[in-house]
Amino acid sequence: MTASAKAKKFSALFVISVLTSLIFTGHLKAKDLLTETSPFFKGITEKYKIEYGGHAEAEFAVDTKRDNSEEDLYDGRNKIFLYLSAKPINNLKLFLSGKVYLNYSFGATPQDDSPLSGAMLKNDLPRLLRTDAADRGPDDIYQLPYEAYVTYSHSYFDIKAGQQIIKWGTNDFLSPSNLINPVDLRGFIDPEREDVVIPVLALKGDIYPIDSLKIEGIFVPYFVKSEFHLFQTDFAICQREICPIEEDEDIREKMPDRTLESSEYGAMIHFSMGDFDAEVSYFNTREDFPVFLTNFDIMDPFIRSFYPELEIYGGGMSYLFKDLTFKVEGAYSPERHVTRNDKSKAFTTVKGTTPGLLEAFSPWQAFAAEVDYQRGVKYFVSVGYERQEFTEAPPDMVVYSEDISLILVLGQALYMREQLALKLGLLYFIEDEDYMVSPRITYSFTDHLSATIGANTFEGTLSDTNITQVSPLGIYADNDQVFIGVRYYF
Amino acid sequence: MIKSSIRLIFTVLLIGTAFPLIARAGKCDDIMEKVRENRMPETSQSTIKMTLIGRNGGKRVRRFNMKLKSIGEDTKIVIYFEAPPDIKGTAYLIIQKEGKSDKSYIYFPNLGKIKKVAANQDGQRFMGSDYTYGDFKIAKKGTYDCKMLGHEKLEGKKDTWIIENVRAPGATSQYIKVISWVDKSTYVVLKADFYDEKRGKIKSMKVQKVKLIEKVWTATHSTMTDLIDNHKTILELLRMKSGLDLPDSLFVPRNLDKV
Repeated sequence: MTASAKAKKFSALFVISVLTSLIFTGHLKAKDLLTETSPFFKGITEKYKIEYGGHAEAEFAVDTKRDNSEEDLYDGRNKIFLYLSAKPINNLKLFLSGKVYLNYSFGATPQDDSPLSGAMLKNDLPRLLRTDAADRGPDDIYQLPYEAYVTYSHSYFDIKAGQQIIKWGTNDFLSPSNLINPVDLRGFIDPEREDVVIPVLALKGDIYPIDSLKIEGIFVPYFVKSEFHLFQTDFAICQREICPIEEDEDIREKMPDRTLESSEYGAMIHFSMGDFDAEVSYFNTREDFPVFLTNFDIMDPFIRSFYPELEIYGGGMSYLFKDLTFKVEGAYSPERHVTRNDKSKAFTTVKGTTPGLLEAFSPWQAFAAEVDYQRGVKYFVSVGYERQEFTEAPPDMVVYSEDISLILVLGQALYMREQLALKLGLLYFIEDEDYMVSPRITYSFTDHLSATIGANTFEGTLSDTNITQVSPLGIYADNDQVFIGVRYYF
Repeated sequence: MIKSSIRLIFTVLLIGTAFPLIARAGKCDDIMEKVRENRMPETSQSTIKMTLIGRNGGKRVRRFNMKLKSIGEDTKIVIYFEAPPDIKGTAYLIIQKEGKSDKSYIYFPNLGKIKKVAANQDGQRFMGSDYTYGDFKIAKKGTYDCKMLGHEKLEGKKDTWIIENVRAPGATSQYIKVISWVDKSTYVVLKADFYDEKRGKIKSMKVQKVKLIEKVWTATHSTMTDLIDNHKTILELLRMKSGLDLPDSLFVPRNLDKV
């Protein structure tokens, strides 16, 4: 990082700290200041129904175990999220949001294994602002704008154009047919929807021939990939030493061309009758996560990453009965990418070290069911099950099986008149018998200020020498973390 | 002779005093119907501020916009939250139809999803306040049987009827009994005590201000006190307009995210 970039970053952090302090101490209420002192501003906001706001958040996490000599034990994330909406005319709505993350990590000093030793903190604090790959510094993310769209509503149709998040599928959490928006898996501590889902530029149209029927069509002109860390962080895909891809390898990404031929499109029909809802959908898309293949050329060896096309046929139903909602959803793709063993070729993939793997396509299907219990706003529990598998898979299936069965349990209880929230998340992979548990406690001191403490714990099979014995969550088994966060809404 | 005359006079007097009581029983239905009419204009839009005060004096504020449309016995209500900022944008729709169970929907902006909510949430607290979701609905006819208990001059100034409403057999409501003090001149409920089956008197509501808004007397400042938790909620009507042309499209679930 250049000196000027460092200075810019430090200034930004300093300004955020000052603003945060002023807001916390009540000296800065920009929102009230503008509307109360400026009749013009007040008139404009009322005339065009302008609303704005957002939140600032600071989170700090501590890894409870050092699993390698270069691991950073402390992770911090500062975030600001802002939004603005307006209704210049009755049926037209404009929406704009953006977010900035200023992240940092430190604690990789190998001399002392104690996570909270004074020597470690003293040695590592000066590294906070460095971002060289060797120093493993902050990972900043700017998404400006995040969402930016226009909605026009009519009695019988709606049109929404711009960068947006589109939710398909009946289920809320395990939704195999909801593949429109890619995801961002770089910030792990306590992610929310705005931290994980990546909006896409899209044109969406909804038609309502009758109140109980909706026909939706979407067009996404340009492909957007999911984001994740391949190296350098505790939640990177290749963060264990047995990963066959080296950090300095030549990875050549083949993104789809930005032409209409690479666009994505789909349609969905939703029907509602009393407490029963059903929908069917079709989506022509690409895999959000890349497939890696080694190029078989000893003169020019490199790793090719690409995003194969696929079609998804989806459907689901839900039924509300008293405090319970029953939901089921399924998705089917006639051809989804797999790799299979072909000893005539010397390909390898990130998923295994068996030589001779080759790309291929196999029908894929997934089924998920959820049962939600909602008692007012006070209690919420969701229990979900998902099974995905490749049918007609080649007999020499790649070692890392795509057949997955999992259970997801989410719960929330509110106490003290919704000031105290207890949350618990449990993810369990049945075949591999590994799991993740995430408890959280959030307390709202005021309508604007809340604090959260929590933990993310992982258990699963892991091996330092054989990737075939590593389970999906086993990769992170030594990365349990506890964290604390503070959020201010304005 | 004198004894018979006295007996006759006594009988007439007794009948004379009995008739007003019998007449009042019938009038009690008329009074509550008038109260319902006051609360239920055909259409209205209002902005309401709700201040929650805990037992230690701590305050939290909610502000929401409420649109109401009623046709006959059918009522639709949309509530859109403007404050606090963490729930801003959340919207709630209640559809009440004669002879059918209520339908409720809620929109969570952070989930981007509109969800159906079980109809029996009436007894749940509204955003942590001392009001429940059911308190914002209009009680359907036949839910309560009313009885006139008497009269009282509230705070030495306002003449009120004291009317007891007891849940009718077979009816569904969150309260077993509600005793209301109805202002004789405005038909506004100035005070109400709420009872449930297990704990007896659980809440008490008092109106501090009443205003004539578009020819309708409306409570603009009231306090609900939870007698069990020692918690209060102050409800202030900041703005209200009635008789608006509110389209039906405002009260459909799919438009909850566009309110």
